[in-house]
Amino acid sequence: MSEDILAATAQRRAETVARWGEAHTMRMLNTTRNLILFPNMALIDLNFGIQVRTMYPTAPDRTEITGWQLMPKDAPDPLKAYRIDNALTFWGPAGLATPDDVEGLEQCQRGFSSLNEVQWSDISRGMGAERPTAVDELQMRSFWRQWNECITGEKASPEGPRYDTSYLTPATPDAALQTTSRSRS
Amino acid sequence: MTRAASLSEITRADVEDFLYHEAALLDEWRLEEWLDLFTLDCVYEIPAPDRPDEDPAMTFSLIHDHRPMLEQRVIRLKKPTAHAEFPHSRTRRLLTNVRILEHRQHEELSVTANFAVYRIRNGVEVTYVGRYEHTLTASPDGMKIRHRKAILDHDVLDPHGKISIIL
Repeated sequence: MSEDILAATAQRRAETVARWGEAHTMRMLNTTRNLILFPNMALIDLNFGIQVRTMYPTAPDRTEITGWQLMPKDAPDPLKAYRIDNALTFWGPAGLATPDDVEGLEQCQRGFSSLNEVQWSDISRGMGAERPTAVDELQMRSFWRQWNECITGEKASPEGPRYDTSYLTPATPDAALQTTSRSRS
Repeated sequence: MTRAASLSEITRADVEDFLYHEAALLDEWRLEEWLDLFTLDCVYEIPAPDRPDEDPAMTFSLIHDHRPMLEQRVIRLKKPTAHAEFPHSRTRRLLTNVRILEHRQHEELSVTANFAVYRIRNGVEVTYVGRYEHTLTASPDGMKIRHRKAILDHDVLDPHGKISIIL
């Protein structure tokens, strides 16, 4: 990462801290998350950018996935270029990661065609762990738990850590800012 | 081999020999040797097909590799964890309509060519169709590629939604 990118990133962080406080800035800028908005939207929030994806199954063996990369509208050009480059080389359809993910998806689909013989797909990685790791399959299980509840009405027991978000209330930004300022002083 | 001194006298046949050799290295999966055909300040670019002339630094494209990323791409493609290409696909490149567009100050050649690249794997055959824009330069080891732009004619990346090989 070049000096001007580091400087621009540090400046944006300082602005965010001034506006939202350190605790919330940590959650915004220094926390990675892979968030499923049930049923078909994902927010993949990593340090080098936020990828939004929608998944629309159009046939039993076909899904259309659309990806967007979010970035601050007022970011300086070098920072924009850096984020675009990162997103491209990682998330792009010709990046160093996505072609292999697509291959994984297609091989899974191939496996699912043997549904009559094998009725289970193992997504138990990291199940029951106190804190899931980045490569655990918690979000897949969370998706299917919700799906199961929608289809059968039966609520499955939840899994995974619960995060203390009490500092976020009251809900309006200004009020949150005041709360954060008070807690810091 | 073509020497720097003779770059201004290079003919289309010389360029064709170079491009056919380069295509053969890719089809034979000799990726390190292929990488040696690029300059250290090279760019390998596949723009968005509907906006091939946008600035790749400021808009989304499909590939925009400088030398370090191109090296990573080659390293990656040789790894067993590159699932899309392990075992690697068979490819066959057809190059036609090769033209030298411009000799720039006897230092660079602007070259264009049409391509059809077939990729066959797991019973699926995919064709990539488009046009190259190459900037070639001379070195003591012969011609090198300074800029490679592969402009696809596709409007969607069906049927498999990815580009896992080098175009």
